[in-house]
Amino acid sequence: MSLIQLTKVTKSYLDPGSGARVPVLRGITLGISAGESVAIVGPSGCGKSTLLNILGTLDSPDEGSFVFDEQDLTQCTPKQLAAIRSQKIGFIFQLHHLMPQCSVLENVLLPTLALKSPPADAQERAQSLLEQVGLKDRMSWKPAQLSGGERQRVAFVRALINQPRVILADEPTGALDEANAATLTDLLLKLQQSSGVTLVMVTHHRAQAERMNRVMTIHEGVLS
Amino acid sequence: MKLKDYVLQSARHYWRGHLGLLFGTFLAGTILTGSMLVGDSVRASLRRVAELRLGKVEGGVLGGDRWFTENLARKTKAAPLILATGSASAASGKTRVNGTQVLGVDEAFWKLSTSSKVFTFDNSSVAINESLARKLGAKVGDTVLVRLERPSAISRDAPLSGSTNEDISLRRKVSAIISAEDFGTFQLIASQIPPDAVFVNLSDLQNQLEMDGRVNALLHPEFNVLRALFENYRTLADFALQLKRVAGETKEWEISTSRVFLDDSLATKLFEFKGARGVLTYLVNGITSAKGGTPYSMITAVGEGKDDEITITQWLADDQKLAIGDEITIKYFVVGLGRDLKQQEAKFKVGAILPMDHPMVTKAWTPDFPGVSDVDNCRDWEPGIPMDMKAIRDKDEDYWDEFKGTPKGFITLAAGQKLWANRFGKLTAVRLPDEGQTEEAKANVLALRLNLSDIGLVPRDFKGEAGAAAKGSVDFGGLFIGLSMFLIAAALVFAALLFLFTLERRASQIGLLMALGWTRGMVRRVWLMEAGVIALAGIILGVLGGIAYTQTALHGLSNVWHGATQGLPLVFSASFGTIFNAALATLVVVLLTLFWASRKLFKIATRDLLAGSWQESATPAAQAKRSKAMPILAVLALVLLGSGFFVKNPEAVAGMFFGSGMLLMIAGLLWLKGRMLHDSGSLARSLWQIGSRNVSRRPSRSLAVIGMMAGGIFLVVAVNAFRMSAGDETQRSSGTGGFALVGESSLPVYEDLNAKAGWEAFGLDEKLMPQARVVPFRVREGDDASCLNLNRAQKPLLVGVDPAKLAGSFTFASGSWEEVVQPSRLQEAASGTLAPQAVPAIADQATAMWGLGKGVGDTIDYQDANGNTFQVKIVGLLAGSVLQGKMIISEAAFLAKYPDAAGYRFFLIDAKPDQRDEIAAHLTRQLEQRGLALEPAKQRLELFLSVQNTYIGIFTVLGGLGVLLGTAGIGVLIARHVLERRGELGLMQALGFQPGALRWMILGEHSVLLLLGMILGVVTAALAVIPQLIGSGGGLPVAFLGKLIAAVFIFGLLVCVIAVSTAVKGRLTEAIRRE
Repeated sequence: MSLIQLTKVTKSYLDPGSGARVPVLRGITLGISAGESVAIVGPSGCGKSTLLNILGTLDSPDEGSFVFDEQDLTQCTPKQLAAIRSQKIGFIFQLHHLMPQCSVLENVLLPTLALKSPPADAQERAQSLLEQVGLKDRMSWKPAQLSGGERQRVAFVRALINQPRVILADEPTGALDEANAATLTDLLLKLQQSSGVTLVMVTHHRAQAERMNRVMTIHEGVLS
Repeated sequence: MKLKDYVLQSARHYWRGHLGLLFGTFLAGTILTGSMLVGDSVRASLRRVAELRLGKVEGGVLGGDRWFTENLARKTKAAPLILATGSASAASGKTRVNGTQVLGVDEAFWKLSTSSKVFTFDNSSVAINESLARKLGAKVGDTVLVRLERPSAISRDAPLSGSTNEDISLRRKVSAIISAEDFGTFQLIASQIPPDAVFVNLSDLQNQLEMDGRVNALLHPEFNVLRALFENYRTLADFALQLKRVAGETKEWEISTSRVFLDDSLATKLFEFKGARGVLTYLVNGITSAKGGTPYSMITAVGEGKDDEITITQWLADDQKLAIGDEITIKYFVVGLGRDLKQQEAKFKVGAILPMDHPMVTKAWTPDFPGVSDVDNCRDWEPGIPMDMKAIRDKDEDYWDEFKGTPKGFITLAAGQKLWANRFGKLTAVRLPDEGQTEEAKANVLALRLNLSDIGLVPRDFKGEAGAAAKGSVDFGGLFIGLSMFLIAAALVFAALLFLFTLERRASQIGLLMALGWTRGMVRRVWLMEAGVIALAGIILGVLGGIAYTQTALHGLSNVWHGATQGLPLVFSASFGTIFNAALATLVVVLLTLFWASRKLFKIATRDLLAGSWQESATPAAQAKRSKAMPILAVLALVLLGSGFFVKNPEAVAGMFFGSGMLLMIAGLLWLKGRMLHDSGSLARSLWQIGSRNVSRRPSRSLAVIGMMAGGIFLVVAVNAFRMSAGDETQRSSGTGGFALVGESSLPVYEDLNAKAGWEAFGLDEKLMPQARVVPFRVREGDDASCLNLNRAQKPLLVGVDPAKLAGSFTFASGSWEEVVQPSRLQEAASGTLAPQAVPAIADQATAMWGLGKGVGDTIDYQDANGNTFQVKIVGLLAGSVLQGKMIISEAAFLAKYPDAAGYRFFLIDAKPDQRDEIAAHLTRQLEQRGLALEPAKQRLELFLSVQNTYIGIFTVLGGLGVLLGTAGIGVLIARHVLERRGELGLMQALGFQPGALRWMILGEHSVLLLLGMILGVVTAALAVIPQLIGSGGGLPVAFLGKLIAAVFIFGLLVCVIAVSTAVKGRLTEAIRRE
């Protein structure tokens, strides 16, 4: 049984100029199993981010079904989707999106505030994870005091703090140089393997994609 | 980490970005707290005035024309008091103060003052209060002249009430000048204006008024005790009743009254005694027959029999050689409205002739008519009716010498009452069988049967009334909030605008939190909590600012805006409750504003927020709605504008033009929004065109600026449309009713000033007076319900007038003069909506709305002369009139409720403009003894209007500040725009555009916003003030408003220039390089 099952998902956007709808995803069918790591590659504007947004419940399909962890998400209310995001999905963005007003540790703990009852061991877990990514000494630092790579590592840890079922990473190393990108991809895969979480990563880097269990290419809204 | 930690950390981290919110909240907090504290202070000031004017007095009885025994006051442990109105003048006679409160007081009165300080002075001295001392320029040791009317037991309008001019003058030395703490401001009506008062030794005043042992008011420190005790000590003397044994055919007790006519309420109770019979003795003008005539004789109506027969005395029979069966004619006066007397006659057949030694033939039947019973000769009679002294013969004098007021004829009581019953009563005495009791015992039995409340002597809760008056007073807190509304709105828009800037800058954080699983509501709550933290800091500062604002406002109200507080001595007062409420209100208003302002941002898709890319665009449905609404609003505005030319009520006209202007402004804003959202698709070929695209980039922001400017200018200018002016005072439809003069007299004027008799009575110029027309009003004392009184009038002044005399005068906002002459109002009575006793009344619109908080159809309870409660129902409203502060009923209805109310004390006088001053001077001089004070009606009207105009003045100043704040908002907007666009501006610089050209572009695009706002505001405001511009100008401060608009434009341009120069300073290319 797949953890994620998309069936014939379509998505289009309104062209403000012509008023016509422009198709972005054209009948995508996709199954991703628990613990699997999947890379989605493709040229700019092919629909990679749209697909990731749908997987992350930040967007909804026009047509088709989306079953996640045996739950049909097309029937969920925004509130239920938010709960699913907080409990089962972790996000990593190209830009780290750290809160400048919060310390490293606080940034990591931010997703726990969305839970009805934050786990008692959240802080210990955060500290442990930060230790794993080499930021033990940076826990009380503010994001502005960190390097780009360090910030992204904080974002990785933040994505894992609520022990999600899947991590959705949108070009997580896109803003970094090649060496840093490779290091961080290593780290990401290490974290994925140690936690057993499913990883779906959108990337331009073919080399990084090849390190995943599966690589899927999207072209003009069609997955191959 | 907990949510509150996150909120506090965010607030701390972004404090610079929140400075705008802090400032806006501070400003809103300052104004709200300040306004509410102004309300507190005015209320506290009114309370203080009430405390000083009443001292320790809780309750009391106000007799007015009803005088009761001083003993009654003493026994009820109350302070006896004579309360009268007169005039006071300096010994030189140069300065005269009309409407002076003349108080007869003793030690008990002073003990009720706040200070309990007792002032004693002998019969050659008086004390005066500070207000009177100031007006007369008098000091201790100076001599003052006090003039007042000697009271009459009987209404001076009543037939046989004696002479009307019974004024007395007291020349006394001033022994003390009484301060407010010592009871110097004592008065029983709720007003913040201290009375002019002179305090006379009680016994001295009683002696001078010939009212020994009698008073017409009492004051008590405990209302409940007074209420419990008051009726316990009543005696017949308190009812002005006399008991005496009379010997006639049988032994009887006779109960008569010094008021000549017995009150119906008392007579009814006396008739409950077994064997009671009524007596009505009347002075007739003449008794004539075919054989002769006899002038001025008493006729007594008593008992039953044939109503067309008269029993005459032998003296009368001899005088005219009358025999049984002869027909005689009796001529007599009947009373109309006022002192109008009409001679009527009735025919009787002689039924019997009584010998002069018959027990029936006695002077005991005749009451003591003032001016008749107390004189030796008939020719000295002054009965208060026109008499032909030549008609009195020597034999009539002889009769008087021998028989005094012995009646010359007797008719049945029914026949007598049919002829002579009047509004003062229908009996002159009631006779009861004498069963041998002592006089004292009989008097006690009789007094026990009667109640003082039957004659209107009812204890009143003065303290409670004062509390209610102060409580319902003009809410200056609400008023100032209203007047500062635009300033508050500007502060809120300012705060919201800057908060939104911060929010937009941190939009990706919103997206992130939502991506992390926070619900939209949760994210929004957290943001509002963060804003709340900043707002709390702003509110704390705002409370301090509010205290300073209050002090400033109180200073303004005591000086330049004194018209709004009408002489109230203001004290600063701040309660914790008010400050807490103001702070809470500020917080709620700020958070609601931010909640509303940020609503669109929280609707943006998470992915767009994360990407930081979103654009304002209207849905087709919203666009369609707007395109439909705009023409509808414009048409509505034009319809309203057109209708404004056909409506007469000035306030309604102002309202229609105001509404029309406002609708057009909204339509204009909608049109501009439509233009901004519309993409023409044309190619931008110049920097200016690119700049104009930027105006449309964030339509809401641009519209907020235009709207704030336009709205501010519109409100500040257009509210001035409500400035009221007296207009052309010669027009009947104006607020003066076309009357040239208005005035009051300290003492009632009984004579008809339109008739020759009245002119003769006061030595008025018979050539000048026909040029004037006097409309007199009867006055029942009450609270001034005009806007000059800050207290809520509990029992507004009731005046009675013949509505026919006012026909065609004034403009009605609702109803007409005809309404008050339909006391039955059959339809309403039939449908049960009009209480049977409700008296229809007309009130000035401002009086009803603001002074009383009432409208058409509402009622007010009054008590009639007998202490019975009746309702006065408002059936019509006058628009902005000189009759403000009064409830106007018909004279007929007035006299039905207050038959004893004699004379007139309020006057409207018609005169040609060129004769106005001459007539005013002449009347004032000739009626000086009555204390007549006249002023041009236009002047009085302008005084009333000055209150409303002062409020508008305050709004104009505060609103002007709001507009300037809005202008400052444009500077902030520019700074924010440039900050957002540093990258693109850097790019343009990199592409070769000169920094100067870029500055002009930014300046140009924002100046367009400024100009659009100003044009929209000025054009729509001009519509609103059309009536003012067409009319006399109505005090429209054209110069001030012109300066304000110019200042806004110059200030706005300056702000733009400074903001552009500051924001574009430095190397813009740095920004692009960084990107």
